[in-house]
Amino acid sequence: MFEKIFEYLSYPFAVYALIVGVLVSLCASLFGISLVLKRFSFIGDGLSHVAFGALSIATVLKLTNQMILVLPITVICAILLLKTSGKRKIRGDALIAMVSVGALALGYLIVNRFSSSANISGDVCSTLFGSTSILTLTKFDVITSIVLSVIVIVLFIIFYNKIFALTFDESFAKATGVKTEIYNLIYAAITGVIIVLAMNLVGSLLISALIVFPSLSAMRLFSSYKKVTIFACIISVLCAIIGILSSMVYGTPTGSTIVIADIIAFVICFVIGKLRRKTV
Amino acid sequence: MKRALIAILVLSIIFVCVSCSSNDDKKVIDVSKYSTTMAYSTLDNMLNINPSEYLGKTIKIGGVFVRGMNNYTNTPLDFIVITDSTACCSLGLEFELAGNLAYPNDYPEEGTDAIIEGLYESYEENGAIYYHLTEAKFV
Repeated sequence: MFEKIFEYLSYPFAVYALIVGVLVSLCASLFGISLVLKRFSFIGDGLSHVAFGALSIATVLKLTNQMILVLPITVICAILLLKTSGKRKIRGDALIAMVSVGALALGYLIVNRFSSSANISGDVCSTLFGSTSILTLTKFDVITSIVLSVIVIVLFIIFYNKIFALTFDESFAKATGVKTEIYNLIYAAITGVIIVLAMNLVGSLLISALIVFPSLSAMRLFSSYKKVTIFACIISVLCAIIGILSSMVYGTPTGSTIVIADIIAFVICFVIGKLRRKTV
Repeated sequence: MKRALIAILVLSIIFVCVSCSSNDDKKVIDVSKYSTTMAYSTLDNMLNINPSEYLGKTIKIGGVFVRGMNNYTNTPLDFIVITDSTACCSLGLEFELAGNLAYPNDYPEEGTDAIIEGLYESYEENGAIYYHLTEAKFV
């Protein structure tokens, strides 16, 4: 098995897949904790369907670089969905559901009617489930993913304290003079960027797993925000590496293999957490 | 300062990994023994992402033998078709057999599994670049 892995890693595209996979899963886990605690776990699903819709339009328009359309549309939708507003008539979860199914349906309709691809269902399936997307990245995709991921990680480090304040007590943060509107805007934009990056890794339908599972696994074992953050990152990166390598060795779809690795990690953490609480 | 150093270290590791990985010294690429995920990804990279990296190399690939038709020249085209792990996407690699082999006697039955080995080259037709295996033989 290790011989096979080393042989596969002699291909640049396999190394690119690992690098991008590690960075994207790291970004998703960093911001996933806040999203889970703020009850926005399904935002990943909603935004990934918006990204799918944007990708469909970009495909039909035959854009060389689809990121030009997908990234801004997804970021704008992220800002609209996550921006807190007391005047909103449609609540957060209902709004996410509306946008999610609407974008998915519109995207598939556009691809079905206007795409000139020979295998529409194959393209759609690959985008939705990320079977080999991470292994077929162009150099431009890799560089874009690395740059965006590094920016996201740096922003998390810089705004760590603000993110902490916004997650646990936004009202108090606002009362103490923190410009919550601006930070919420930045936070929403970063979430949109992470979703677009994660689409290549696990596909549109499974993105929520990257956001939710590492955080929940870490919360089974730790209660401190810092420890949960660190452990969620470790779990997410490990599962991404194991998922990518396993899919290469055993011929399974990459996206779902990573998610299965996340689920197994969650079960292990759940059991360990239960045992620890029983012994205390 | 500490965080900056960690960031620089991580970026350096990434840069080294990206730079070091190369299959330039491989002359024969045996895709027939790869998993479906790797076989499909390798073929996708060969045909669509980075074909120049594979030109001039001997490729051995297994899949389903399919015979098609070139609509421009009205001549038959032979393909080895492989699917990805979800079986919803497939890619075909065209090949030209070496020697004077006749269809169907010297070919496997269409729709059956076959392994082919040949030299990966490009050709131009009607202003478009295509890729195929030349001097190919069934293994």
